Amino acid sequence: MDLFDSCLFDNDTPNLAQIINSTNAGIWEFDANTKNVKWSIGFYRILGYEPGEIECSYLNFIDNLLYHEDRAFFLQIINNRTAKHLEIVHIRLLTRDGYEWFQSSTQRQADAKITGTIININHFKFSELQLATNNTFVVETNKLVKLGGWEIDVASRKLFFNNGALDIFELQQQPNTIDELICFFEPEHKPLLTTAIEDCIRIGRPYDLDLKLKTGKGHIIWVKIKAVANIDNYGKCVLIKGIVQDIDLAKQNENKLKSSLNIVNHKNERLQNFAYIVAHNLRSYVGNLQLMLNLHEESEDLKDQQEILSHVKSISTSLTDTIEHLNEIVKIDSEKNQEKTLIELDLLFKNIVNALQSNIQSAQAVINYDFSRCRYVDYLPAYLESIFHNLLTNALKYRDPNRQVVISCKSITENDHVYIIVEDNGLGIDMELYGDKIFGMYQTFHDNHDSQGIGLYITRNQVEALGGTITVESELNIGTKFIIKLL
Amino acid sequence: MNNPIQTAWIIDDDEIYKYGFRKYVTIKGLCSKIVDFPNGSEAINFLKDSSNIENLPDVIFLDIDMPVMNGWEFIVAFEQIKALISKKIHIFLVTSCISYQDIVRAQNHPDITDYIIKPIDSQQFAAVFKGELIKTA
Repeated sequence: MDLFDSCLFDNDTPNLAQIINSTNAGIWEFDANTKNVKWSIGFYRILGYEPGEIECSYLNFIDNLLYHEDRAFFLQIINNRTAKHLEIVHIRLLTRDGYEWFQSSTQRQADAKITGTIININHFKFSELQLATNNTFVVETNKLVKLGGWEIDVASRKLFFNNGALDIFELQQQPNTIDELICFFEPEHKPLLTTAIEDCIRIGRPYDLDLKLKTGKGHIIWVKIKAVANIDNYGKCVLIKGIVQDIDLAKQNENKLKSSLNIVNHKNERLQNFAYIVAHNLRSYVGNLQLMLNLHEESEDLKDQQEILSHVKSISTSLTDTIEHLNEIVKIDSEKNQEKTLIELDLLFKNIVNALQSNIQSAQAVINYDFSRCRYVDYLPAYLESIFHNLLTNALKYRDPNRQVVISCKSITENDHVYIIVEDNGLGIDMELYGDKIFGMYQTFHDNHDSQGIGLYITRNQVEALGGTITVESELNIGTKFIIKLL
Repeated sequence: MNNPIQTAWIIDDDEIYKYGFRKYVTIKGLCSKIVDFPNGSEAINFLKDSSNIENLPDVIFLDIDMPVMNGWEFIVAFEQIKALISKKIHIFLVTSCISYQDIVRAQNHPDITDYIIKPIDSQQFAAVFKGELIKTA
């Protein structure tokens, strides 16, 4: 008696057959030689039929019940005569209600017979598919927002990264400890993260930080690190769950925006200052003219009247000068887009020195220059001439009469920037008192009648119009040093 | 007529304004002695020197914008030494700028009698030199 005759179809004895038939599993037997097939009651029922309702045959199973795409690998298992072990595969079978997923286990017996079971796993398979879909969705979404996840097991202080986090860190292998993690961050941000993690472990405080990270490939990017603590019943932090997000692009844009805002604010401030100063300055000329005209009317003395007229003339001259200066300042912005040319510093500087020869001689000044460290610069010649001219004139004007006047000028290159340094041993400026005003308009600091307070203002505008900066270091009675970053 | 103001100082870096000021005061016969300083610093030095005790002014016309030591810096320096000065000195802030901030600051400052806007307001000047503004101050 074989298995099916003795047990599975024997309805009289409450035995193994009944138990098996009620487990929602089907059992079959196949003779590879005769192609004879036997199905258990459970086999019919699991497919939604009563025993005998459908034809129990090899061909019916292969051609009608088994889904065509699953046929190839199922047949391979059946026909593989060398296989000894249990083969488990997932197949789709046509039930009364349509195709459903089954787990098929196949075991080859010694006598060319094959036995197997099928179990309905449709619900399980659906959840699995759903899960996979959800998972793909999460992974895809995380990729889109450049998000990664990580955890710290507090007891072992061990770190766990998911793939998203690995991608952001540009790593194949994750860091294992908190210390290793912190090593990836830029020095200025290391203490921030260390404190945040320690606080989270100690008192469970969540954190949200924007930090600079150096990835495994050496890129420096901005990331957002956000974390919360999981606590046990005693309130002790046992796990830190966190995300890491690549926010480099957003941060770059934010910084760009910030710096443009700064530039705009700075420009606005200067414009306002400019307008105020111009108004003030012009007003004082107008006031003086008015005063002189009144006096001219009031005065009866011819000599006085002539004197007053001579003052009117000098006001007129100064007013013309001032308007020239204003014109020059306004011109700076319109000229800045003119073509730059490659300037030989040595040549240009010599020309300026020649032009100032009489001033230099009367001051008996020594002019040293050294442009060997950067001989050429791509710049607007008119600006550079004006810059040198102004700085040299200043150095001569505010010389210390008790010293041999020495003015030195040199060029250097540093980090791809060209610097011009002009240094003198003149009177110097009290930086504490006037440091912030030195490049201001109509700011004068020495009791010198030649001072108009316009030269350095123009110089600064010219330097800044082409994207450079000018700074000053000075000490009273020692001298002054101007450092110009041209490009 | 006995002018209440014997000596007036003008602290200003604008030579033409100082000339016009003097000329105006002379023509109008407002004051017999006018002394001028190019900036606050020189005026403070003069005030500090005790040998100048006979030559202290009754009023000071003080410009705001000056090199070396401007008007406001002069006021600060003046506050520090005024205890040493026996004479009551009235300070008028003179400026061509009509900055609201400066006006408020001048009005609220105990050492500043009033402010005068350049060039010259003949009525205001007459009032200052007659001592009217000083009395009411």
